[in-house]
Amino acid sequence: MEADLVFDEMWADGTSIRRPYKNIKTWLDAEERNSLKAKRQDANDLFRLTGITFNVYGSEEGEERLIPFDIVPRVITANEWNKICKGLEQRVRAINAFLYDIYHDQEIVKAGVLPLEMLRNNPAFLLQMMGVNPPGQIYTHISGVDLIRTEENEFYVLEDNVRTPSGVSYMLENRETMLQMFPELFTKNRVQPIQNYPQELLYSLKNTLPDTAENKPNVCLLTPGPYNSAYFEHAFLADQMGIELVQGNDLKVVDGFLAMRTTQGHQKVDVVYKRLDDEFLDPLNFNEKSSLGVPGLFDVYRKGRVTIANAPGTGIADDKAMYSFMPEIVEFYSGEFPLLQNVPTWRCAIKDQLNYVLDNIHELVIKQVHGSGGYGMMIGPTATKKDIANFRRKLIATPQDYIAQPTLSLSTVPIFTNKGFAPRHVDLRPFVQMSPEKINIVPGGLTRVAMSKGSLVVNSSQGGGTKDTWVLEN
Amino acid sequence: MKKLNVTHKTKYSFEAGPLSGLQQIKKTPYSDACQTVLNWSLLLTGAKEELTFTDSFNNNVNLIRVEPGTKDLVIECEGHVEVMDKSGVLGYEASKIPLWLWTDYTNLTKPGSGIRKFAKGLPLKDDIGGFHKLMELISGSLDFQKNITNVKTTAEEAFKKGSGVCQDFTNIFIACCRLHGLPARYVSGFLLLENKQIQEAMHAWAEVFVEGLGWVGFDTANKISPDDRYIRVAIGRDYSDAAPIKGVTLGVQHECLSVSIMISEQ
Repeated sequence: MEADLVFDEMWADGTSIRRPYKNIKTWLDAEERNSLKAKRQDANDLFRLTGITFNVYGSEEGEERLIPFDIVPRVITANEWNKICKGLEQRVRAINAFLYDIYHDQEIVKAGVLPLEMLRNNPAFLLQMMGVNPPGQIYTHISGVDLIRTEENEFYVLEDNVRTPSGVSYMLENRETMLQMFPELFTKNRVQPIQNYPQELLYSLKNTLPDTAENKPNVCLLTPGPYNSAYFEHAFLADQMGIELVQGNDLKVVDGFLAMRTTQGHQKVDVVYKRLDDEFLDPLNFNEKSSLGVPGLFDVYRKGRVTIANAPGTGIADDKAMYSFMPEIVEFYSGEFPLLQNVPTWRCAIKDQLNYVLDNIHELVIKQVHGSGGYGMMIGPTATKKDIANFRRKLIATPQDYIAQPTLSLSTVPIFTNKGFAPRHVDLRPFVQMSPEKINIVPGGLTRVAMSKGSLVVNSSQGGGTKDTWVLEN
Repeated sequence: MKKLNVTHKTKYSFEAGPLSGLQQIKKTPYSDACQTVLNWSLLLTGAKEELTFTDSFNNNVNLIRVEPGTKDLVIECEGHVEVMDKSGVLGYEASKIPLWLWTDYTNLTKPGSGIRKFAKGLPLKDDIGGFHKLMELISGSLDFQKNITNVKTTAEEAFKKGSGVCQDFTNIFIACCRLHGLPARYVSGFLLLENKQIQEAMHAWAEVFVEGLGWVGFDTANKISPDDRYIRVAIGRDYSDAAPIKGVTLGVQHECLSVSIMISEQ
């Protein structure tokens, strides 16, 4: 990728500093290199101490990796943020309406906007959800919408995460660390606070109760357990929200309701904040081999006696093939043009598009439709000959499993390296909470950084790092 | 029109020791264009009811918990249903399931080379005659024989074996219809038999969606369309969706089953 095509959020044209970064520049200029190095070390020690680690799939058993943290904040202005928020709200409302439609009358298919083939034999489509009415008609209580920036005013949605979006604990810890290491920064800059996220999430979940909930609703977080890559986050969020962290065998159907085992016997559960894949949720209704789930939980759910957040079956809205229809989906349900753009996407299931992808494979990013976390993807311009040959074979064998996108020039933000400041590519995952009452978006979100020079892969499973993300007050 | 009285008693014995767990029971019929359920009761011994719900197919489901230490679970149903003879035409109905979902293969109804070859040239479309012909042909290639197949036998396996029971006949019929892109579904239910007082199993047949008529039933094992001797209980894409009992049976080695179904006309 040519350097002059990349938008740097600090040095837009390479010579003059962008306004929102002025204070950051002044701060960095005033700090001693060695003192910054020491503070960076302190920050990483702090992370290790708090236990913020990440289990990496497919690596040595039990390997826990520290996600690299960079001390240079990323800055977004109030104006920029307000625009992003409008786009996010429109998109998340549309996705929620889409899910309701898919699991009821499927008007979007009848209208010819979405081809039936997108649902047929799609493993993310849950037949059991047909006709189910989730409390408050909310499917996507939490969405993590991945955005990339290519220019001053160009933001694109890269991915919608509405199954079990993760990463919010890093967002919170990044801010906490910056507040501890550099308190003076927050007196000199008016940064919108994010520390209320867990309380706001709890409030939002308590606003989406089943009809059977009583005065003091009981919310719990259902985790697959310590072997899950996001277990730290599950424990962290449960602690911050002041709710119980439970595994499948802590929950049981009792007298027709969902209940939690406690030292005082069984206690009714009204809301399950689910951090477990649908497939493993309930062995009676889904994968019968699952020992992680709760037998009968889904039956209590369809009876309307418990809220599950996010609702089972939301995965149909965030697979990468469905992504390519998102502009049509947003327009169909909102009646408006999408405020946030999609990255142009080729659907390899379509013959002409597959041919284009095969002809231009060196310039494209190839992604697996049902993959996540940067697994099963290939970036054409940086791929080896072997990778390309490998993906070419896969594309020809099972084209329906892949989409392709142009390699967009993700914006860069400086990071602090041993050799000084250097630009690195970033993306942004804002977290959107939805309840019948309102949509709530925490200012900023999680900025992920590709730590090595020129790399476009920001996924933490692939060695990506994170930064504190500031949204300035107006 | 007939008024039928049904008693249906199932006993499960867990030889390997006590069982505890949840079971979904689909043994309660609902009223539709062909039948009116006058009354129905479900009595449990060795288990308690957690809740009842209607699933995505609109089936009535009882979620029950087998109590710890139970060695014999007994489920007794009793009720009266008024049935009309509509020559198998159920017609159009409100459904949570779109028609296209009934055209997708399932594990049990996926055709293999045997069924493909058999059904390929058949003139299956909107013509009722074609489906009666299909019933004849399936009956001609299959012997009705117990204990050759089980609930996990696929349509293709039963077809290759050349024998099976009503659920195999039905799964094969459904596979043939779906091969032609037609929406077809499985029905589990009761059938009044004149010469048989006590039956050991529920019955099964298929329904096909025919343009202009709606859903029409075909009982392949008996080569006729359902009449006023048939009570519909549960539907699904194949046997597994409509199974009378489905549960978590982890750790259970053997379960012996005795079933007695009595259907009489009042």
